[in-house]
Amino acid sequence: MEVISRNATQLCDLYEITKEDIEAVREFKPVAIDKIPEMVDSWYKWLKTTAEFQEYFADPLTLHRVQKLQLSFWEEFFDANINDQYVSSRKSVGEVHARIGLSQEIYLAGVDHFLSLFIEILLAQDWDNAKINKVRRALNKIAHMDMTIIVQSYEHVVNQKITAQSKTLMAMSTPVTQLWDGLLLLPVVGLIDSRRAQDIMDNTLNHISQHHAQSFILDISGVAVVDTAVANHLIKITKATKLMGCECIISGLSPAVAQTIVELGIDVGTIRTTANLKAAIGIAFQKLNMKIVKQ
Amino acid sequence: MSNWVKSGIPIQLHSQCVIASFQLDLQKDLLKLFQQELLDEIVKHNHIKGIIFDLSGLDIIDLMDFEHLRSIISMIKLTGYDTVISGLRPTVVSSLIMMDANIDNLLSSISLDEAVVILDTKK
Repeated sequence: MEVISRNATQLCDLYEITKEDIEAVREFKPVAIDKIPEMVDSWYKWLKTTAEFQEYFADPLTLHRVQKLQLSFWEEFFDANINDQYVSSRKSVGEVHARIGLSQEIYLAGVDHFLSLFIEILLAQDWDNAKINKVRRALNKIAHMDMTIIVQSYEHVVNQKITAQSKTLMAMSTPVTQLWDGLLLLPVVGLIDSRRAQDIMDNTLNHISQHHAQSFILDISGVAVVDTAVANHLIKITKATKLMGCECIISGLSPAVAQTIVELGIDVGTIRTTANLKAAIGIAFQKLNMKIVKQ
Repeated sequence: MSNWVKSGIPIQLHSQCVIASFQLDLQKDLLKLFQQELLDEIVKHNHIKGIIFDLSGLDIIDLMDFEHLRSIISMIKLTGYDTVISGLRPTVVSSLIMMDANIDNLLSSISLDEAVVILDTKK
């Protein structure tokens, strides 16, 4: 999935952040900056009441570092120098959140806590209403933009994780192994859907051509359900291996599976099937003109 | 003039097997020419084990051409010989299966060596 990535100017356009907004925030800076250490303290008092505190901020060193980061961040925030560097620093914050698994919930609540503190300070000033409203609106815009950048990069990292995981899962789901020269084994575990069947087929065919295999055992003792669709997938796989010049033996047909196949009226044709892996290996060795002899 | 046109698919004799190696993309006209050439070649020999189609050079085979190959194999069968298809690529196999190609009564092998062995056991 391609994520649309906006640069600083585009983001400013999106949130309609104008020069006036930036001016307004800068004007508010001297007032707010004095109160920030106080506010960070108050924020951590609030944080202590949450469940996440014990998990992420229990270590005093970490807490100290995060507090420092908070201070420097709010200073940056009031400077309101929205450039690409600012955006990328926000992005890295989101990535860190995603990596350590800090929930979005607590982050957004935290920002909201700060915003309300700012509004409190703002209202305490003896400025006229128009000016207060303008600053308030500007603060909101920039804070929201910030949150979006962080949330989006968070999401991006999580998506990347998921894609990577599903790839490993796919690779794990078709572990074709070579049992002997010219003999491959693929134990299938779990459910077979059309995507997975296709995956199994592609993987198997590639392995057959790589190893010049003449026999291939598909062990389905770990397959939970065999219905018409699954049986058809299996038949297709055996047909494909046959076309490659490789005999396919399906092993591990449980009594339940045998009954369903016949009851569903599925014609398995000339496919060799066995109840257990031992029998399948026996057949395969026979085909390879080999024999296992007890010493 | 048509006598001068050749399919361009080499037909060779090796260990008493007639081997046809496909390297060009299959076409209807090409297969017709090949069919004629191959059958002419087969009836010339007396002591062959069978015929091998080496398809390892093909990146793609569509359903029509595959059916045509099948019919050529049936024709060869009428002259009394078996045909082994050898060296189909994984991608080709996968696409043929997806197109639901009929593969009943076909002999296939992973390599030429294996194909010769199959024809040996058939004899």
